[in-house]
Amino acid sequence: MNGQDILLAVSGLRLSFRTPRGTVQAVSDASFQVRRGEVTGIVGESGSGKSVSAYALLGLLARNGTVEAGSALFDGRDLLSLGKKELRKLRGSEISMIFQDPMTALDPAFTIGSFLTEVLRSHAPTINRREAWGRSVRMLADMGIRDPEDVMRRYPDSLSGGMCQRVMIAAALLCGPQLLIADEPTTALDVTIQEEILSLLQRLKEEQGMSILFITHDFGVVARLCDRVAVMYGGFVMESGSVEQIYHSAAHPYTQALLRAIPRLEDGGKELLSALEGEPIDLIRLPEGCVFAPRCPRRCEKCLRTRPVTTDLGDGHSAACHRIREGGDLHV
Amino acid sequence: MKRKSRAFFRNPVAVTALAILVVIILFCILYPFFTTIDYREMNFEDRLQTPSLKHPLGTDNFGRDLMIRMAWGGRVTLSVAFFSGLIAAVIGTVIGILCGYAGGSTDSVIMRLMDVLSSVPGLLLAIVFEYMLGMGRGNFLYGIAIAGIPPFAKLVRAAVLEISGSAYVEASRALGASPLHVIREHVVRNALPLAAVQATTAVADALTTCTILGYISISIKPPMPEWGMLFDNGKNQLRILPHLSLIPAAAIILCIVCLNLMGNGIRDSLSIGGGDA
Repeated sequence: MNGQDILLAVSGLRLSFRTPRGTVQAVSDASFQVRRGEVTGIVGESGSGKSVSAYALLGLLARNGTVEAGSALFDGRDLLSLGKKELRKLRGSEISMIFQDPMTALDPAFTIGSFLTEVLRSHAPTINRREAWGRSVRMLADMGIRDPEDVMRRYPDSLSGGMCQRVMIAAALLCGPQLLIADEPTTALDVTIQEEILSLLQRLKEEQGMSILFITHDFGVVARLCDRVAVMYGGFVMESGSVEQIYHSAAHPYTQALLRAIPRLEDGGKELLSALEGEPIDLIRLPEGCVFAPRCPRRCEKCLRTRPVTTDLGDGHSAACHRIREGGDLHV
Repeated sequence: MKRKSRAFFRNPVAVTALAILVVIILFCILYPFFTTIDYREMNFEDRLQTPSLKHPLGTDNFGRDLMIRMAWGGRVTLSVAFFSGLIAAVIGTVIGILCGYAGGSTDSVIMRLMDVLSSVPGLLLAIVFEYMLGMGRGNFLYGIAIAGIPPFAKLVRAAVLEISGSAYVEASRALGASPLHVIREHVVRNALPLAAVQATTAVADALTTCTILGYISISIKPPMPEWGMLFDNGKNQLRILPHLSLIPAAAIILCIVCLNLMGNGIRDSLSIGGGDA
């Protein structure tokens, strides 16, 4: 892999939110990459910092949030040091984002047609109405919507969740972005619709070479779609690597615990799923040592005292755990 | 937007209310052009008459024709109500959008000022303006208008906060929409229908205040009539000629009821599709 293939390289991202209760250290140290034509998944439970990391890249953090450190090189520019105006121009045209709940992501006061043409015209002011309409219709058709002309004249509330998500993806791709950030795009949908949206994203990747940053808490979805995975917990990237590396030789105890919590058909349903003991950590008072140590089945003295450094395990596989350094048995 | 107005026009109650208001307004505007009788013309031989062909609603204690005085009174009362409502709506909406967007201390300071303002009764404010800016020239209108601002500002501010935190504004920003675009398209278009509902209430309130002022003779300069004044004038003959006070009273009540029914109609049409409000 040479540097040319890397579309987005986030390193050492650190951000926090000021709240009445104190400073919430939402992300302490996040590094991940998206390569051209690949799908990188960020997996983690609620509050692990996966979504806010993506929001920070686009400058969409809430007012009380600040990026404290880190860089995000996208196509030669550092997203985190771009001005507001430049970022706004870049949003939608070079990086687009789709969201968890497609039904509420569309303004109820507008028809799909006026929404899509408006997105197009805001990035290409010279385009005329007819042209914008035509391109929107073609894009909807590309997204597998059967009667695009009809859908263009409808309001969001007369569309199903799956249709709304297709419309959102169409809007996101309308200006030909290089990177699509998908923030749990299937979480709010029925399982069957979920599958349709995933196939659509898969097709975009295969046919158009779309690069996608896919944020999810669902390991099953990751296996279905992603090439690479970063596992986040408590604002740290615990482990990252290719899907094969993560699934077959997970090095971090947290990843291992997550994988054990997925039901498998071949077990015949006889084995009990193992749930991870304990509560997610309090992001206002981060522990001194490894953030996962309080829940970790393999913790030692050292884990409670010092933060582990990310260790390169070769072939792009890396993990942040003291137990790996020691060269001990990685698998429980 | 189109669907919502369609939903409004399919609501028989709201449409009837609108129609009655339109008829009353048209009567007030047009009737003076169709009669030769002057609203100031006194005729002591024709004092206190019951309705007749010459005087369709009878005459008052000065022999003035009540029909033409109702039309002129309506012109005064309804335009005071309408314009003070309009001023309150425009200023209140602008303040609301500003506060909702600015947030922080700007928002707190302006909103506390609104609280102070809303603790002053509109009637009192109207009287103060009338005394300050000169009597008998309708200056109480500004007082009524200012008293109407706080509810608009609060309503619109709340709507702006809700809308600007909504998923569709977030999505729109993620697709590169500018802050101006967000305000103009998403915030205004979703908050306006709510403001329209509030506007019907504000106009009804202004109408009430206006007629109360007329009733206590702090109003436009006589002999120019006003509905509240007409009611006051007629009440002395309540025993013998009740219609002299009941007709203005009925007109006032009818207008207020119709305004409120229209407001309800708009509110109901909002919940069709869209799902906001």
